Amino acid sequence: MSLLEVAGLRAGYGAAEVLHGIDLSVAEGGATAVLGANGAGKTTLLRAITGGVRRSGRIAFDGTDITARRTDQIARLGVGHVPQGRGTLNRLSVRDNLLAGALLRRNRREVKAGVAECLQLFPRLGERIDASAAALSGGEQQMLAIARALMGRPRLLLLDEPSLGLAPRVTAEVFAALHRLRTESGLTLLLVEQNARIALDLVDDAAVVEAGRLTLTGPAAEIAGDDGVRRAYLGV
Amino acid sequence: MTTTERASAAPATLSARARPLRWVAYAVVAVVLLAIPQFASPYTNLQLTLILVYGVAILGLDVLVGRAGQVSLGQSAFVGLGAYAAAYAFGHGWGPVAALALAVALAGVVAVLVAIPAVRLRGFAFGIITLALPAFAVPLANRLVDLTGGSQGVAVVATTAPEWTGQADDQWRVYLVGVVAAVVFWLVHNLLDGRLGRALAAIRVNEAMAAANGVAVHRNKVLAFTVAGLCGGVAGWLYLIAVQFVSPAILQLNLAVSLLVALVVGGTRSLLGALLGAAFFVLVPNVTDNISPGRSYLIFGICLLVVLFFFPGGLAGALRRFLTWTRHRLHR
Amino acid sequence: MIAVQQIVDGITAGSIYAALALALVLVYRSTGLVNFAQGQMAAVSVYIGWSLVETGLPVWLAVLLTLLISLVIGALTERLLIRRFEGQEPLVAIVATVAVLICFNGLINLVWGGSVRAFPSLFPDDVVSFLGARATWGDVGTVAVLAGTVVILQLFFLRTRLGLALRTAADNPSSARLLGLPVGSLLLVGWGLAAVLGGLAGCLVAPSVPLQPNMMDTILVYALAAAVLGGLDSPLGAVVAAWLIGIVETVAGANIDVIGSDLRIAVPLVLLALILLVRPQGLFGHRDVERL
Repeated sequence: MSLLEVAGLRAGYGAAEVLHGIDLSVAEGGATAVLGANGAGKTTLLRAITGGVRRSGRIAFDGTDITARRTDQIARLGVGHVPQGRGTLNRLSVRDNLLAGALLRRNRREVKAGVAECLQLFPRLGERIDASAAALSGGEQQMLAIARALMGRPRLLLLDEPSLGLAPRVTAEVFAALHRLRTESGLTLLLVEQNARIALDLVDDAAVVEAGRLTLTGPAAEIAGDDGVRRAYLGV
Repeated sequence: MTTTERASAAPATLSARARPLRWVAYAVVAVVLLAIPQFASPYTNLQLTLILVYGVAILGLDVLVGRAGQVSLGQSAFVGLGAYAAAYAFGHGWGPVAALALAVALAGVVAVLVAIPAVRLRGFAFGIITLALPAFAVPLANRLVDLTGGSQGVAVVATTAPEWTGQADDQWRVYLVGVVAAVVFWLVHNLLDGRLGRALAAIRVNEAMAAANGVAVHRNKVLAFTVAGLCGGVAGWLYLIAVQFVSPAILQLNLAVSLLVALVVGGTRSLLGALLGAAFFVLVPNVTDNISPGRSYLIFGICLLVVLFFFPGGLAGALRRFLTWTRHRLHR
Repeated sequence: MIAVQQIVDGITAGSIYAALALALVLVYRSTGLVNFAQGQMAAVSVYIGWSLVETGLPVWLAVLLTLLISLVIGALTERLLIRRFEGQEPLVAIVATVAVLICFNGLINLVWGGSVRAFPSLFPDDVVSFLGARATWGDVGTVAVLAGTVVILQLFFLRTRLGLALRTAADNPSSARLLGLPVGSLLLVGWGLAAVLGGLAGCLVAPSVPLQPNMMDTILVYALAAAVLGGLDSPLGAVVAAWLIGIVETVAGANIDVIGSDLRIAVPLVLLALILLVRPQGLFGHRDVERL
């Protein structure tokens, strides 16, 4: 069974509808990339799943219908969401950001272990553990945001444009960590990315969104080989 | 045919047919308003006059708060300054025009002097600093007894109805204040219609962005503050004309906060809103007092909350929505 | 000649302002608005305390119960009256708090009437002498309670999970939701705690001023000045600023003849203006860096 199932999803802001009926599913342990140009509705898709925008249709997480649930309720079910722009807690330290991610977990020892794991995944954060999150570079903030989401031990992790605004080397670092994450834990990923090349390298499946509709879905290798995709998103 | 298409077809025909109708409606309203003082009691006329007085004060406040987005708690100081200046002038035998000039000049000078350092502050810091204006003004008024009459205040006979008009004093005052207020409203409207209005709107939305786009943020904020002060000064002169008395009570922080509340209740960024807010401020406390003197303040507070809850955009916004709704229904 | 006595008096007065300023900072950090009704809410707490004392309860118990009731009042006010205005322009939110102020003032007048009452002190009346200055136990108690409160608050916010949750929700509500935090409930708690602080300020000052509906009005102005001077963002800053204001106001009032009781309120505002001229973000505030 799919961990995440989306059927006939429509979503939008105010009177405008941005998504016009999306069907998508992600199997447990799998990873799917959602590609598309700016304004196509990729961010809206993730926001709709975690309850940040007005939506209709059917969204199910691990069999539970979450279409009408509040954001914090959905998060508590085990859905982590790293928003666009990172959403770090800028007045708090790096350590506090990580601990904030684990606020719903009771076992202190496990939380401490979780912090250690995150620091192993992102050594750079270890060097800056007591710094204020505002003082971090863009790449470090992205790592912090991902680590913070992981602290909640989610079963599904939504990532909104992790490469946005990052230099190529830093992007590579972040995605290397995501690769490690996939191999070491059974984490399910739904990734929205403009950088199609690096995304398709990470995931099993991909979908292309254009003007609020899915135009192409399939295994990552197929999508990467598609002519249209190669022209539009891979610069070939 | 979709609803959007149908809706866009409607206004075209409506305005072609309705424009002469709209002018007729305005004319009727104007005639009615002008006629009211003839039939109303002196008390009612005083209420009307006060609504116009505070309307001018709130209009000025709107330029700084509603349009430039800078919360000010000092408007009462300018109103009071204008009123005291006018009282001084009238008390020393000056004519009404000279008194107005003094009121406006003093208010303007103080506004500029305070604004220049103050506008460097952002948000709440600026607001709390403007608190200093009434905080200083009240003790000053109490102490400079020779100039201000101290805590007792000053009573002057500012104007009486000239013989040739055949009006009673209270009627004359409504018209006089009304005319001056109309002029001020017209001036401010024109001022805001141009570059200043656009600059202030940019500043309100995002100061940093406005500065990046070449808007002279500090200069425009000082300008807005000065306009607010000038309007306050005029309102003070009008107040004296209406009430013939001034005391330190008019300088109080209480009034400054009330003007701010009235601005939001009436509706920011709206000329009509300034008048509606003034009307709320002048009339509702009387009504609540009549309902129950003991609970008057509490009922007033509840009325405020009701307006804030259900009419975002204030009374002016609600009125606009109501008129749009009736226009659509009439056209069905 | 600045006497130690004046400094002692200043710190005592400043401690009252500090308690209310802490409440203002707490509300600002969690909901992003300045609560002009904080003083009036504190006044309601004091009147409730007075009523409890009138039923015969010992003062300390009455105060404790009052603080608990304040918690509930603060939480209910946020949930029922203020929540709707939290996302909107600051101007509308401010006016909403003013409306709440008016309602609470009217409520006091309605339930207790406007006549003046007296509130008993938590502390014995004796005077204690040290360093050449005299202070009542009430003064000493006030400063001690305030200092203790600051320590407890710091520990609470920095070391407990609820404290971290509150800081998280205050820093970035949408991120907090994505982390599973019930932001609405946390705001409730924030306002509740702020109301407790306000109630504390009220109960500390009540024995030395006549109880009337407007009793907290001037203290609110001082507290606002202290909060802004401290940077609006910083609890510690608010406390230091409040003490500074208390001291400067007392010293200036005692030594500068021109300043009578009516101009004392102008002193903190002048101090605030002077400091903000040099440091617009306040003593401990952060410069807002905006990315366009």
